[in-house]
Amino acid sequence: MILSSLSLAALISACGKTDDPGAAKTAATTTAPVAAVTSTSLVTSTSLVATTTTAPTWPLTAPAAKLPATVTDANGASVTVTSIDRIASLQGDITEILWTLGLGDKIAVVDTTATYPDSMLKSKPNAGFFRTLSAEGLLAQKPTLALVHPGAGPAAVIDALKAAGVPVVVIPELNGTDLLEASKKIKLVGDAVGLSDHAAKLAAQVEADINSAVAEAKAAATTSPVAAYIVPRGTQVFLTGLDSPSNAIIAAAGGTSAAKLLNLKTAAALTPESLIGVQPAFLVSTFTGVAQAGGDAAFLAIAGIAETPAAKSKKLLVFDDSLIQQFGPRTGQAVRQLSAKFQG
Amino acid sequence: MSGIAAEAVTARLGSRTVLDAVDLRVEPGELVALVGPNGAGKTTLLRVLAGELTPQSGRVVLDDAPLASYRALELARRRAVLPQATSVEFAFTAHEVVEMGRAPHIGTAGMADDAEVIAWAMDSTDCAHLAGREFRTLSGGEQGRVNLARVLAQRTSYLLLDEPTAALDLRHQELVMALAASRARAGCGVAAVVHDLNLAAAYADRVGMLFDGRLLALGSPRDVLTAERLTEVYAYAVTVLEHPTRGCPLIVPMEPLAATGALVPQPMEGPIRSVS
Amino acid sequence: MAIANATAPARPLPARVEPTVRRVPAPVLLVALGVAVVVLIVASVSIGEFHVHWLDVVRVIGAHLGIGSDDSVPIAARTVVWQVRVPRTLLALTVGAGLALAGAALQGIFRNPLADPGIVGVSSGAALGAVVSIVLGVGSLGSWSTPFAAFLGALAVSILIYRFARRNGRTEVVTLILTGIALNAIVAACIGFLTTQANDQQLRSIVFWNLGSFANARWRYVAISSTLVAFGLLTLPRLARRLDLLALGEREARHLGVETDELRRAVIVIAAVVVGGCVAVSGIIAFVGLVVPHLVRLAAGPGHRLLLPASALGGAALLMLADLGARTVVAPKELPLGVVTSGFGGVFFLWLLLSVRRAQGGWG
Repeated sequence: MILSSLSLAALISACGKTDDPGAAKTAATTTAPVAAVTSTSLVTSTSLVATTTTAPTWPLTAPAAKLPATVTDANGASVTVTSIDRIASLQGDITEILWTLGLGDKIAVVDTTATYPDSMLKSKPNAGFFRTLSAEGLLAQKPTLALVHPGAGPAAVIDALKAAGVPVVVIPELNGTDLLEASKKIKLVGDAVGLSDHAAKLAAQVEADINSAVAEAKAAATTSPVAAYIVPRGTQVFLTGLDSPSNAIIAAAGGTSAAKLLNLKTAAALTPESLIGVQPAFLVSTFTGVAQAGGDAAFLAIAGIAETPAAKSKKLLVFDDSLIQQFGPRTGQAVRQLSAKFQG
Repeated sequence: MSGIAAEAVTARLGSRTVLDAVDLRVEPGELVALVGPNGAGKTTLLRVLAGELTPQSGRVVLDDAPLASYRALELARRRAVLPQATSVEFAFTAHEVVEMGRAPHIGTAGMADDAEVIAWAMDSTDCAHLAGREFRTLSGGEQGRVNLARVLAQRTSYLLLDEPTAALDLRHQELVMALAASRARAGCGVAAVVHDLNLAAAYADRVGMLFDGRLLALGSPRDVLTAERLTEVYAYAVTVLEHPTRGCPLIVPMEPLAATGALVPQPMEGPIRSVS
Repeated sequence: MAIANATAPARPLPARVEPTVRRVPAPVLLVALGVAVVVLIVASVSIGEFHVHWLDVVRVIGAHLGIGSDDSVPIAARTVVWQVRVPRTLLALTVGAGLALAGAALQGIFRNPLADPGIVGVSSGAALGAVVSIVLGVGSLGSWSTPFAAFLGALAVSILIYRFARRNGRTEVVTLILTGIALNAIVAACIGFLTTQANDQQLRSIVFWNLGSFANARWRYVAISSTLVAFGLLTLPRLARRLDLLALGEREARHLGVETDELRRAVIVIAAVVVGGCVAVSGIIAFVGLVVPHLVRLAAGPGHRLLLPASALGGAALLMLADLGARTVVAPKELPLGVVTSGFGGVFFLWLLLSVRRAQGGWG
């Protein structure tokens, strides 16, 4: 029963419309600590950690919020926010946006999908996976506002938050194919915390950064190498679909995603031959994904991966999960870093 | 006409005819012993009388009504059945098992006598001292007596007993047969499958001799248990003496070599190797 | 012919005193379990990550029962008590009672102490029913659609097990367990297929059925589980004596006046209703139906007149305790309840298997 449930959980995160960094993260923390993978674990492979070098001004300094603020959330509910002193931020990308806006100290509690920035997350209580929250655990943190993913739950927990008088704002997922969804998300989060103007400023910065990164990548592109974004599941090769941010970022960085060649509309587990068939020059994955496989060497040894040109030349690019699995303030950086590797 | 009767009962198990047009009526007040060699159909006949097995032809009548017309509860109040062996799942005590015999009387006036009846049944079968023991930990003979006590506790007009003396020591065999006979004296109709011909001879009012699915003979022990018939049916030479004190026949097997010889074990061919 | 000393009359042997099985008297057990249930209810509504003063707990519950007022209690505390803890406690209580009750009754029918609704696949069947109703969107019965579908699934699996695992009126341990494995596998395959047909939201629900939890406790679920479990509590104990007789074997029970076919049908249907109701609101929680009846039998004997109510009380207490652990041990996160129950239950199951093997001298 437990086994089948785990595999079901794996399947679910796979079948979801877009990447579900949370599911991968939860599974990973039970199998191998993410920290086990270091950026220099394999000389010829490259680990990409987003740094703030291209955006030294982040986090911004937030002005005073204009409260109360009334917003219509993703579920069409009209929610009035009166205080942002203690925010329950229940999705990794929301948490990153709040931090970038300069609201890191207002975050009262996060969930396990939050992976950035590490320095802040160390000091925040964690309410568990955003789909299996505990009502009491959350209420005990005395939140004055909850910003949640549409799939946050169980439903009874969200109901309890509302009943306890906590305004709950559902932020749409916005992890599709358009890189500029990052700025949309930033604005929605900004509206919910009464900082629309401030957020609009950040959104403009992010948008400009993404646009310039995409333009630079296009200009630099002399070839369009095939890159496969891989989420290992046990011994299976699992590719995200064309509807996911990872493949959109690969495309923006001048690569040709394996998913495109295989015409994978949504995520799917592959037979070993299919990946060999598209001859990827680069393999892209995340810290969590590589840790789950048992490290760089084990990752490159998976049947179906080992026989690719990328594996033979050890062109494995390992990203921070939240950098490539979702759109956010650092999406421009992700494009630049990938582009540099593709053309380098 | 009261009694429990098999009327022209034929029963087949697979292609084998195990009962062939058997007629047998057990009247109130008598103990009928069913004897015969292994596979003669004794147990099958008892199961047919009990309603466990529906015969292919013929029928069983209990107190003038076909057996099939009774609900299980009505049957349970009229006749009790002791199968050859009963395994009890879960850790019930001997007392609890005997108490189960009272189940058909729940909600009737008879319920008031429960404690008394249970005590009587356990005393009669010499298992009062086992009352607090877990049934499954009892020896085979003890289990048999507890089960018999359960059947007695049902207080029915008819008793169908399949080998009630199996696994019992000599004293308990006599005790159980005497008990069956005394139930008959008290007005019950009792049918019992008995392997020990001397027990049948000593206690039964009538003996039914089954052989190859047919009721070969039915009558008083003296009429049925003759040396010629037994020698033929059991394929073994016996002689019938007079019991010194009981005034009933005493069946004694003769020497092995006096028999046909077919039953004498032949030595296996070839030498038996000893393991050094 | 010489007859030696054959005339001595049979004389009674001296009276013997045999050791008796030691058991906890029924009233003592029922009172003890009753007290445990009450204590755990109090503990379950008082303890949690969110600190609420016990007087406030009393005020909130009192106010909802029409006694006094809870205006002085902060809204968050009121929510935690009345919308989180009380329904959750009642859900654990009713589901625990239902599963243990159904387990005890099924064990009686199968004449096998290992017949746990989770192990033999009845719970999986219920989960499959629930999943089918979700994926196909069959909703004509409103919030009762899922429990009804769960009931049908549980019933179908019960009948299959009964057909496959029984031989000569009894179920052998090995056959029962193997049948359970096979049915669980078939059900898992069906659920696996349905997941490919389900959308994202439906998939979340499907995971829920497999990992039992009370995290999604709501009052309307309490209404479902308490109604169906109450139905079981009102009907099954009436069959207790007949279940006792079944311990002798099907044939013997019939000779003692039990219409065994009717009894079997009744117990299987009632158990399916109860298990369906439990699984529909809490997902699959295994081993409760195994552990509790077994412990009750060890303490107070196998008689179903005591076993059924005592198992219900014990199951209620055990699941409230397990759930209390699930939500406090790693707070503020939730430990899946299945981790707690299957963890302890699995160890217990192994022990039980070994003791059954010892008692039967093999895998009878």
